[in-house]
Amino acid sequence: MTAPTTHERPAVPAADSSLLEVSDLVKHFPVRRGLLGRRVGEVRAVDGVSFSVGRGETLGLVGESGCGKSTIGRMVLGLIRPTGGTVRYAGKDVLGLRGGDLKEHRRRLQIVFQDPFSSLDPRMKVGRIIAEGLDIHKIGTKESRRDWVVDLLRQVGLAPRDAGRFPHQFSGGQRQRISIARALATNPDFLVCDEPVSALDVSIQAQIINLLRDLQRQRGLGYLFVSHDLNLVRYIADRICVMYLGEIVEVATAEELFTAPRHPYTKALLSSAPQLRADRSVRERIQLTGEVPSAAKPPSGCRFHPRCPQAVPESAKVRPRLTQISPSHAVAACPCFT
Amino acid sequence: MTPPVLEIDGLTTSFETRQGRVEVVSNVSFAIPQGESVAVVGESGSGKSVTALSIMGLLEGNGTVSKGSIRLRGRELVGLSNKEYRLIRGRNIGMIFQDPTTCLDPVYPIGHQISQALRIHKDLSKAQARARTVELLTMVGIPDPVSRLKSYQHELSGGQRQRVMIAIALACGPELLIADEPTTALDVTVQAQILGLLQKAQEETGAALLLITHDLAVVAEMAKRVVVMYAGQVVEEGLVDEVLNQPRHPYTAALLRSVLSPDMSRDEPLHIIEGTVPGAHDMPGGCRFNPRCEHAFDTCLTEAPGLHDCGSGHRSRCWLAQRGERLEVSV
Repeated sequence: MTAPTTHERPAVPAADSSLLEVSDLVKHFPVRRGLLGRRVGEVRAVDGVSFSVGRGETLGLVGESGCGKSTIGRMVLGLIRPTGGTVRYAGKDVLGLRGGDLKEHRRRLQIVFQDPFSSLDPRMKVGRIIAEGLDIHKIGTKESRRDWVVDLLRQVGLAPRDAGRFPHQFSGGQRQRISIARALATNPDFLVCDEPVSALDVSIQAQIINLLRDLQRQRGLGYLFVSHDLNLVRYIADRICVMYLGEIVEVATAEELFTAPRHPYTKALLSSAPQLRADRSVRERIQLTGEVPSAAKPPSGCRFHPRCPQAVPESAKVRPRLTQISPSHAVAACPCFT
Repeated sequence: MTPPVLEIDGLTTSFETRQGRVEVVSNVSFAIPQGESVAVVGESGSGKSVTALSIMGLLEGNGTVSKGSIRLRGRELVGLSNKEYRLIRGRNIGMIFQDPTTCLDPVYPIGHQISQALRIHKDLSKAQARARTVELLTMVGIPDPVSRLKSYQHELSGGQRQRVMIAIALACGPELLIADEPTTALDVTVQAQILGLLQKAQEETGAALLLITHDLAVVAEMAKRVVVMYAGQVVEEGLVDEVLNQPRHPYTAALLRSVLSPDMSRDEPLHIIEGTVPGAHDMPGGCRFNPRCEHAFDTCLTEAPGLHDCGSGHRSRCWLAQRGERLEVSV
């Protein structure tokens, strides 16, 4: 991962060249009860998250269920509105976009979902699924659209005749290829990949990852890569944000995060993943007790403190701030290790 | 010599479908001695889950064990009536499934569900069953077990539900535990807890463990022996350390290479296995893996290889292994 690549890798925070800039993003979902749907509380799905992604860069977003990683992906696309904070894309405030500008934003940002079974309309032929974005954005003529669909199918490793078939005639891996072709149709420069391979078998996962990797090189795509699989994120991402209960606890280059993790949660997460060839006598597994608490009642101070093996009394009082410890590494500085 | 806890011999399971009868598991044999753990690993469609369901007597209506035998401590299970099977499941075989939400009953408190298992199989009084239930919940690490007896499954987290399912599986002191993808639905930190618990439970009770999984890393951490399945057949079997370090079947070798490891560089593409697992209706002739195999030669296309013993119980269903050729493994 140390070999130079064609694109630059911005430090944290990214240089001015960043394409996507998210700052202090907040999403609270109301919790409603009773017949009248009275608001009795809120789930703090995302609570003050900032990051940026440069052109052609891959930012990995990792964390366990409920940490808010998928919600962030949807807010970046403008699929759900944040409660607070800003999303800037290519210098423009995404939340203020209306009409044609919003449409253009959506052309440039696309998403690949986790489940290749529910994310493709079973009644539409593959050719139409891929061309739908072209119709909406009125790109090209009828003929040129058809040629473009054929071209896209080839790029993702499918055959031109597949355009006339229905999604159920394809395997999971092939369907994910169709999803990728659909996402690429409008010629975007950024893709949100929300667990794009976690529903697939190991041997098929590798096919899709290679495809995403090649497409990025050919087209200079930026990726926001949401995943729970640390080894996968390490392979694909330039930088990685580790999230816990709606907050970023650590962000660093992939290399630095894996070789020198600082936050106790990152350390626990890294040591929890079963390894194929780890020297088990040397490796020390940090086994956390309990599970991720509800985001409706997040713990005070450092949100990880009830499960943290090294928590100190101050951990429960002070909400740690994301602090730069090197130009390419920031960590939520909890009193337990600073 | 006492017979192994589980002995499967030539197990063949088929399903009746509209397109006719299809064989989903073909001639599968392996055994699990007392206190040992065996993992069956494979991708979707390999037949690993159907193998487990066949052992538990839980095949759906259109599926039957058409050939072979399944013996639990020497007792034949194939051909048992549902009633006889029901006495064995829960008492002699403990079962843990992937999704605890669909396996636990939503309308009964969890304490009731555990003591029910005890009272059906163990002839305990209500008070005795309750005491044992508390003991079991403590053992699987449920905090404050007495007050948890009255909890419903929706009040528990995913990891706790899986702990309750393990408590039910252990309740009657089974000889065999079958865990079908027990941690696939869990987060990674919780997965580590549950795998640790399964290991501890197995050590303490001395039960044999049959672990069904798609995850080679879980195999490496949990099992002593591994059975690799592909397209309904066992393609390789042996000690975990040997199979994962010196695979003798090209499918196992390819699977190992496609697993992401920390030292892979993004500048090299990941190793892939071309194509997909064949369906039961369109099995290729010869070796079932030949269309995807990078080592295939003419014999592979026409003749199906048998399982060849490469020494010390390491078996491979490959013509290369029969010729004594070793596969190159990059670690």
